[in-house]
Amino acid sequence: MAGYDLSRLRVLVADDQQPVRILLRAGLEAFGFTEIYEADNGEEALDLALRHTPDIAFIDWMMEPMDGLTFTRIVRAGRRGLNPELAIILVTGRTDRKHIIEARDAGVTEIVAKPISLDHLYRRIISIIESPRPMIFTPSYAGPDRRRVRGDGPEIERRGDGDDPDRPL
Amino acid sequence: MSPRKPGLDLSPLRLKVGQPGPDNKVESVNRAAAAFANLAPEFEGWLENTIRRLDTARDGYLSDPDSAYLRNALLRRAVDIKSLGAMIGYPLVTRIGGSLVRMMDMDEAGQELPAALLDRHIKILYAIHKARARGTNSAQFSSLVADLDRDVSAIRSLAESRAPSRRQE
Repeated sequence: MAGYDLSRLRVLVADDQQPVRILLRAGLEAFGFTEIYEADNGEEALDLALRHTPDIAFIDWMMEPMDGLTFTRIVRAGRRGLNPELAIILVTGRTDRKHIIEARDAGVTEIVAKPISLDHLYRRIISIIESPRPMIFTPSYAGPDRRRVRGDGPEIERRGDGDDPDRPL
Repeated sequence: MSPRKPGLDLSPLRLKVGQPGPDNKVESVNRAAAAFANLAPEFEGWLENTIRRLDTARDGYLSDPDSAYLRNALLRRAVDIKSLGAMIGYPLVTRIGGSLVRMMDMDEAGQELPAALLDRHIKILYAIHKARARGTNSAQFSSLVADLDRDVSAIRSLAESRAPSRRQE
């Protein structure tokens, strides 16, 4: 796995759980990212995305007043002057099949399961740099191809923590 | 519009990070793990706050079990427990959070949420925190968590077996 100068990428982290934001920031800084913006919810994330044009967004799903999927849909619709090609990594504790499909349909680029595995997080970052999913551009949607193709789509690691018995896509 | 073919052009991220360097995954992940370790003095307080927030959400939910808002608030706090535990060295806490989420998913399907089982989850979380039972070495707590898993599975099975007859009513 090649290494890259991650300090060239701007990052947005949105999570309503402050300890997770602190841990995620610490991990990302250790990976080499230097420009990291933090938001407490989807609305704040949209505001920061507009002002700072991040390259990658790590977004929690369950936030209020705006959740991560609503954030994703607004970005992918190209509304509010946002960059619809923003790489969105959904960081979520909800990784059963139903939720993965919902996240894919909203247009997330990748999914990282909580609790976060540092090894998996790093591999996901390198993966979206080296092997991005095909992009679709239409008047109402710009983002990763949401069609279900075997082996192509948001993937999720299985860690056997006794949760989520359903198989991933 | 056709999807962009992978490999035919470089992704925006790939263009920004420049040429690949030597593999530094192991070093990066080790640095991140060390950064997490530096935050260890915060872990007990984070865990206690997260359990208390769950407890408060439990009170809210039980005050009005028909409220979708309060049920969702409880679910968010359960996901917080699941998300944080293993990241700060408490994998049993993550399992309890996962068990709670599975129980919430049953409730999402319209089934009654068993208050006594909900309370057992929270009591064991407090006990784990009080005992500083990190890792999975505590036979006592591992057994209690396994009991929770088993009881949630049993209740889910029962709920699913009743689901067709409920739909017919």
